[in-house]
Amino acid sequence: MPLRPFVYHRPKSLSELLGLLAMVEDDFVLMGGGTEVLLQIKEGLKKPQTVIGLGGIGELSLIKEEEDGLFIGAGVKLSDVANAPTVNKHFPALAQAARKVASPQLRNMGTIGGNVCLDTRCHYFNQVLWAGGFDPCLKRKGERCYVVPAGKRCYALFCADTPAALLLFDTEVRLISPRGERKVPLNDLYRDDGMDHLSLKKDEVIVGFKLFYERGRRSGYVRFSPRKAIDFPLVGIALAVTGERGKGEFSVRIAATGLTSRPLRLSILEELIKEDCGRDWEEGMERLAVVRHGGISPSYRRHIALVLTERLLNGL
Amino acid sequence: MVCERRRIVLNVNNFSYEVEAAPHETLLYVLREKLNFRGAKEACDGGECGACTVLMDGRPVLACLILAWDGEGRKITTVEGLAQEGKLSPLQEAFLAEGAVQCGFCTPGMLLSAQAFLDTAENPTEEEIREALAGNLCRCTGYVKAIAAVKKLAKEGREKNNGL
Repeated sequence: MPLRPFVYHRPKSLSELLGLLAMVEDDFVLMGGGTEVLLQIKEGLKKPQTVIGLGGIGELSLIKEEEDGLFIGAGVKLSDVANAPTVNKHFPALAQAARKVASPQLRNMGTIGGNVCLDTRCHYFNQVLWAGGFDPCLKRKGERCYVVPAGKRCYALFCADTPAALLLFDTEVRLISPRGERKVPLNDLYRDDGMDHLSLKKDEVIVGFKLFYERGRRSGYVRFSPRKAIDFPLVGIALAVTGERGKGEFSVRIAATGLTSRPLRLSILEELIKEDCGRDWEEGMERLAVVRHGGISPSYRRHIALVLTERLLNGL
Repeated sequence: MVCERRRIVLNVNNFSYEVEAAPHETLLYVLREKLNFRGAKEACDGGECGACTVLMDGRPVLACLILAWDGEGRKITTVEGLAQEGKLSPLQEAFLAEGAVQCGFCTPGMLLSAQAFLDTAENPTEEEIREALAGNLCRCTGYVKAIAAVKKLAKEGREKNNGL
């Protein structure tokens, strides 16, 4: 599959990138490691006139310890996130999540910024080679959703691994654009809309992520996927605890990927676990709206989320 | 829209090659069609199978999802770079000895993934070897013999280092 022709820019510094963003008039896409962007161009899902590669910008690939936390540049490769000693020490859930992504080759190419921005997935959008056989779905600029035919929006699923882990650590996203810099909590970067799941402006670039330390916190990430390697999770669960269950001070945070069009904190479940009053977790999960996707029923997906949560809770 | 081609310099298997490439040409295309390194294979062309694996600065990557322009200034190794002076590398010999090859289409990628792994791993477990080869799909012989080959070589390397 040849790529459609495009103009390619590869800035060497953030200031060069900002100059480029202020100037570029074409329809452009930003490319981190290229593992998704180039694939989408090959599949005709993106047809940019210009591609801006971020791989040459050294400022984006730093891991830096700060007083109250760790800064990870958006351009750091997933394999480097998985192997970084500081990440493994303070944020094990993130290291474990990064280690689960795709395959060794793709982890050597893909960046954490790219994984956080990863497009949503759906059988009718980016998992079909026979897409010519039916009218395009909403996300392919068509008029209907095949997953929820009565729905008004796109229900494609967000399936990246690392954002679930990042949500545990109060992660702050540092953004830059020709108009200036800003910080947003990672949670506010996403919205539950499969078509357009990022609240980023077109000319905004993620510089990196700030994760915060917490004394005594233990964390982990587990996922369930049809294949162990080169696959996306059906459900991925990241969990962090401080203290001991049932013994005074205890707090738990749970975040999930693969359930909806965004990664999300499972606050209902967090409360039920913390109260520990014997109420049915299953019942609590029922309150989370999940749709049938790829032949997987909502109840099965919720069940997996609970099983993974229990495994983590018992293991930490 | 102007997509200008330009001359780029690629360092492949320790030789520099000057070649003309358009911005949208992949490293795989340039390696195979312009520089005649046919060891890297085009199979799924979408990052799923690992047949196009090459090493970039010693790390396995997929040449089908890398732009040729981005290969500039990097040290690229293809399977052709493993044999030295017409002699197969120890890893290639181990693959032969174990019979880890059938149709051979996945073999270059698997060799490169395994080589990069052996270059850094000390005393690897079978689980670690499996993980290192997880990005290379084989559709005929399976993985048992390839894993055995890597294991054998890792063990030999260890014995050599221990002076046995």
